[in-house]
Parts: sequence; structure tokens; C-alpha cells
Amino acid sequence: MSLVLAIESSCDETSAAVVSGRQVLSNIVATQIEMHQKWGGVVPEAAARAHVEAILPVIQEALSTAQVNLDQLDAIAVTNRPGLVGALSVGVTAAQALAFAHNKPLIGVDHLEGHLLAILSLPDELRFPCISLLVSGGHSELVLIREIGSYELLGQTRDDAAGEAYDKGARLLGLGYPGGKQISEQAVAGNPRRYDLPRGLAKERYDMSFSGLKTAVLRLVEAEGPKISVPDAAASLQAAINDALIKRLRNAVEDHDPASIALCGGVAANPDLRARVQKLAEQNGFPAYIPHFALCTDNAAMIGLAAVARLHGGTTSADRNLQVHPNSSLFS
Amino acid sequence: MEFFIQDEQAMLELGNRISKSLHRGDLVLLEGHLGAGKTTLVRGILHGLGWKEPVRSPTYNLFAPYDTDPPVLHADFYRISDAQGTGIEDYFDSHVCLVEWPDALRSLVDLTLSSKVEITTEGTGRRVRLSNILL
Repeated sequence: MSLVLAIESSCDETSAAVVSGRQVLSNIVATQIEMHQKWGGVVPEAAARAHVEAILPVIQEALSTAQVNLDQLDAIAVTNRPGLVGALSVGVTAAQALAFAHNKPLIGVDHLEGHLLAILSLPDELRFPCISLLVSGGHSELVLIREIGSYELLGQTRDDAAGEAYDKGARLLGLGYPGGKQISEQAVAGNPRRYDLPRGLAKERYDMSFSGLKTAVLRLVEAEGPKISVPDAAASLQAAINDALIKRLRNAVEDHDPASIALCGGVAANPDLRARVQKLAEQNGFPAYIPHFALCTDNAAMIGLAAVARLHGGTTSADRNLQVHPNSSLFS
Repeated sequence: MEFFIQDEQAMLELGNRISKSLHRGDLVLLEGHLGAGKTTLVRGILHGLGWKEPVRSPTYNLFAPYDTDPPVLHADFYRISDAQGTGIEDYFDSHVCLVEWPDALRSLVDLTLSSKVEITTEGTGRRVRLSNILL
């Protein structure tokens, strides 16, 4: 069983994990959300410094929780694309140093492939092809996974990401951060048909649009004033976003006759979206793979799982001079 | 210069007009609240420069460079309170920099001298004010 230490620092989170085959032995995440709330925004130099300060303790904790020492590892994996250049560099530099010092292979992993392959953490024997919906603060992508390592981008947002629509919608409704959680909690007691919000690009089979929601929510807040029902507005916003996502997923299922579907990325924490993906799978008689929440937000375990898959596929080199690629795309 | 903008199409057309007056090294600050239409205006500018693909929100990645002529950097500091350390300076000379939520630039440039687009809502339309931009 391949034993891999993985490191992820492509955006806001500093994370390290140890995986053994498909088993996650540890998955430690140092989040900067508290810091962001206090300052009302990220300060990039502070964010890079926070990565620098967090990375060694996070790696130590991942190893000690897994009860593994560096010499036992088969490889070290790290996210080297895409992301913020300063943030990526911290993780890559740490991984490189450890790989040289302990004479281990170094595997560079694409952040998006990590998200897509978080499904490897599930006990199921995975069935492909699989249609995966990857939704987070920075991503809204519909991906056909033919097999591990073969990905086709079917559709994506043409403007804002789904998670961004949740965050900015929450801000417009006067709710706090993180917005997705606030919206889904408020929505529980709300009526999703109370307010009519747009479903962008309704005629597109795969591509999505969420930017019109900002203007629509703004207009709603102005029109209703203090008599607005925040739970109803949250429920209506959630319905608009999730309707658009589920519709694209259903279209892809119709067109590609997959053996399974999957949901990944931070928006996979949304209970309504999870339930609707499950239901779609049940209606079609195939499984829905939805990783545990800790493996849906940015984390290093998913990077480790993708690296293990790469090791088993035999497509790795011993080259430890890994470059950072802030703008690279998994699909080009 | 001030414009009243009825709808999205008119905002795209204004972007198209602005695009003809932009040169490498220009810094344009885009001000307006969430949903005001800043990204729509950027889309209009990029269309005016011949860009045919989608223009995605750079909120999470901070930057989106476009290899138009002149090349454009679409930046967004919604998540950020200080742009120091982002590396945006690398684009100042080579690109037209269109910056949303530009307050974060204060520590890097004198914002009072920059070109500016301010968008405010007026009913269902928008009031757009241009400073230091000659159409």
C-alpha cells in the first residue's frame, strides 16, 4: 500500500495529510477564515506568511496523527497548480526540501484533480464513467471522468462561481461569512418559492451563469426594504443556485449515460444540494459519490489520494525540481 | 463625463466605447457595490478589444490576464484589504489594468490620479461617471 505525505497551500488553507492507499490516516487543515473575518479581507503578504508559519506544524501534526515517520513514506505529494503563486510556492518549497532531505519521489498534483479524486476516500468500488460536479468559491465545473487520469470539461460557469454566488448573496442579505453556511442555515426555515430569482443561461445544456443573481438579490433587498424575509430570500437564492447546478448535472447524465455521479468542492457541504444529487442518482439507479465534508473543502488528503492513483498508474518521475504553475488548467 | 445606462446591453456598449481609448500602462479603477455591473463593463471592454470567450469573475484568483491588443489584466480585490504582495505591479506597464474593489491599491499607487469609473444604481438603471477617461 503506498504511503504518501501530501501538502496543499494553493489558496487560503494550509494543509498536510498522510494517506495509505485509499485510506486517509490524517488530514490537518490550518484555516485562515478567522483571520479574514477579523480583517475583512485577506492581506496577501500576511496570507503567504500565515502559510509559512503554519506549514511545518501542520506537517508535523499530520505525521504524528498518522503515526508515520518521514522515512516510511513512498512519496511526497504537493499541489503545484493552479492557485495563487505565493501560496503555492510555500507548499512546493516545503515538499521539495523534505523530498531532497529524505530521498523520496516528489509528485506534483493539480488542485482540481485533487477535488475530483476525493471520491477515492469512499469505500465503494468506483464505477466509471462518472459525471462530477465540482463547485466551490472559485469553481463551477461539470466534468466527465472517463477513468482516473482522463477528464473532459463538459461545462462551467461563464462568470461567477456557485460558491461565490452564495458568498456574495449572503453579503447582500446582510449575513456573515462564510456565506454558504449562513444561507443554508437560514434556508431551512424559508420558502424557496417566495421570491423569484433568475436561473441564468437556462437554455445552455452545460454552461452556467450566476452573476445575474447579485443584481437580482440587490434589487430584491431594495424593493422589500426592512420587510424582507431573510429565511425566504436565503431559501429562494439556494433554490436558484441549486436548480441551475442540478439541471446541468441531469443534462450530462442524459447525454453521457454514466455509471455514477459525484459532487465535490466546498459547496458540496450544502445539505439541499447533497440531497438532490443523491436523489438524482437513485432515480437513475447508479451511485452518487459525495466525499466527507472535510475532503470537499480545500485539503491535502485529496492531493494524497490523487498522488497514490498516479503512483499506481506508474506515471511519476523522480524529478524533484517541481515548478509552480499558477494559471495551468487540468483540461487543456 | 456621466452616462445613464438603461440595461446590460447599454453597459456592454459603453465598455466597447471605453475600450477604444485604452492603452498599455493605463490603470482604470472600477467602483461600485456588489451587483452594480463592474464585471459587465469589463466584459464590454474586452469584447471591444476582440475577446470572444467568457469573462469569468476573478474574485477568487484575484487576477485574470487577457492576451488582447492591448493586453488587459482584470483584477478584483473584493477578498483583499491590501494589494501589496499580490504582484499586480508586474502588469502595470505591460497591460491595461482594470481593477475592481481598488481600495486595496492605496498602498501601491496614488489613486487620486488614476482613471476611474464609478457606477451607482438609479432605479433599475445605472449612473456611470468617468474621470480621467477621454472617449
